[in-house]
Amino acid sequence: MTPQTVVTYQTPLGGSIKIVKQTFGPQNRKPVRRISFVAGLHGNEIEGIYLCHLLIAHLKRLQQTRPDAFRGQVNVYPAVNPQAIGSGSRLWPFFSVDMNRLLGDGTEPSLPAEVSHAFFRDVASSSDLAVDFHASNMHLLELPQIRIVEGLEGRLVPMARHCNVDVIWIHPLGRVFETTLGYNLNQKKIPTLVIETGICLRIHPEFCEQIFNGILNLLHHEGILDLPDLAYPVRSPLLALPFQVALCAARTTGLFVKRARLGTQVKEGEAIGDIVDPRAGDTVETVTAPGSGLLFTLREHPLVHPGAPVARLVLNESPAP
Amino acid sequence: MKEKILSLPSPLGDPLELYKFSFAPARYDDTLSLVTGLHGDELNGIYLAGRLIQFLKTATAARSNSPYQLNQRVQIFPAVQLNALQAGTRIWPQDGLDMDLSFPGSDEGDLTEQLARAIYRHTFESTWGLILASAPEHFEDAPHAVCLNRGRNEKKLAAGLGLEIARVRETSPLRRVQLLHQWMEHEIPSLTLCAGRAGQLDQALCDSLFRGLLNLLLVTGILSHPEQKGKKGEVNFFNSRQEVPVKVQNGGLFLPAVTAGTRMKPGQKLGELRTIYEGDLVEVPEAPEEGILVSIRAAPVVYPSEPVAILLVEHKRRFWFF
Repeated sequence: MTPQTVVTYQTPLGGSIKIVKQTFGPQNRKPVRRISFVAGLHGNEIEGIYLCHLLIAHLKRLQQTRPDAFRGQVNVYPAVNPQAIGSGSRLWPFFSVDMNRLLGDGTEPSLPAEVSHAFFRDVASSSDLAVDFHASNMHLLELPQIRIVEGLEGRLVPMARHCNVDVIWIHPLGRVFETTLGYNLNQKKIPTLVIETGICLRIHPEFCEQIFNGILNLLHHEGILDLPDLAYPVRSPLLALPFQVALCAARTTGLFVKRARLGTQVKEGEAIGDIVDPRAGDTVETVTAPGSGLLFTLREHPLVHPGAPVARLVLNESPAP
Repeated sequence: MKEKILSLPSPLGDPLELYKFSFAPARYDDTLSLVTGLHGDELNGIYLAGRLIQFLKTATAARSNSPYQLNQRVQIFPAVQLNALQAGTRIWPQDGLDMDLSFPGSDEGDLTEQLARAIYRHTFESTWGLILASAPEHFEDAPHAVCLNRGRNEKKLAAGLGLEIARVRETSPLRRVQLLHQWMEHEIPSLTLCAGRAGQLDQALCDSLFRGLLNLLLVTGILSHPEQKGKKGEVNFFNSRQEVPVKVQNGGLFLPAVTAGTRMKPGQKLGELRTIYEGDLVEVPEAPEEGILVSIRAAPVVYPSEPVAILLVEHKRRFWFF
């Protein structure tokens, strides 16, 4: 393992903040391909940081026990927004900016923009493939999934199928995605998967274990690691096109109390949860499934306003046009 | 007229209500939309909107003796990010969404998106659009216009407001989800008036900006007065290549020596940078060339290589190839 500091900047008190990369590769030959794993662009998304820990620990052991397994190079950037991670906040503290909205054209000159661009240059120059780990925001719990911007599915879905996720969601390009790491690496013809799992500020070991197994499978299939004795089955993900995903939103306000379980099949009309008015002691709304399908997003943060997302389903049957 | 344009129930209190204040003669062709409080800490704009509402209420009252006559419609949205304003924060902590990165909004979306949609729906057919904003976090701005077009109408708006500086921004993925860009897509002549500092209410600055707002109403013919005519001053447009950020090499406490709006000479001192622990003077940032200081650091704590000032320079900066 070769640790390398890719970006350093000083704090006003004189200390330094470093973005570190751990590199693993074959010892006496040129790597066949290079892959990078990135976590912690949002400081409160701990699941990805833990996934990087699992990966680094495994690769360290593998390097000692089976160094010949390395055919390609693996770069792991386990904590790319150290100050946000230290504060447990999504945004880069002090500057209040989102590190995953600073890439691409038109960013204002600032220290976070400079650091982000330097980090991006390092990833782009040392990757043939990349994976960007994310957890959900503070409201929603997500089943392990890969999100792919519409138009990139031809190149990315075959790669995503190896990752042992439950869902591959093809979604339309939102304007703000153009400033993200995943979008900009893909624009540079570096196939990049964005994995979303769990929820912020928590670790779900079972989800991380599932994705970790998928990552080893991906590394084997991409010819980066030679792991012929992978012993676990990789699940077939559900491929969800934009019109196959149904969003359930709250129509009223109160506390959402879930009834359904994430990762289960729900039937049309089945109760996903209740919204209660804590002052009056009333149930003011029962949120029901708009169709039958896999519940792959479920609200964890109970406080809801009208329009707040509560659940997402991959529908078994596409809605009529 | 005060009109509730959106009411959203809240879990433990009164509903959240978004208001529009409209003033119009019996017949009109044009509408000026004025939006402020897109962030909870843009207090100068919120205060100015209140003053304008008070002025127009008096001017248009049934038995008013006001010499002003309203000829076109003015609609004012004085506070949009209501939750953040009440929380004393720039953005609402519950959803963490920046209201001015949420346009055109969505009726089915989360609360911030619904507020954005209501503003969009009520303004996208306006004749003129004006947003009142403060400087970005940590900075203080000299009053200036920000626009996406360098058109005749934008010039008229800026000149009417008495602004000498207009910064023309290039579009970017993030700017495309801002209200100003949405207006531009509807070909509404519009600009953002940036001035002062977020989280602070500067009454002297607001007095001056309020005079500018009244002048704008006169210049555009929205308001008329038998004796007063609107005055149009000169506006200097600056594009992004004419913006010179001045960065510090060290971190510490920045103590400004000049105020926003100063015409700087080459080598003129911008301030001092001192270490936090012992107060040692480590750097004296200077203006690298002649220009207008449009923005200066107001929050003292700075990181190394951060900008502490932005100068607008007359000439166009060019790239040299060797």
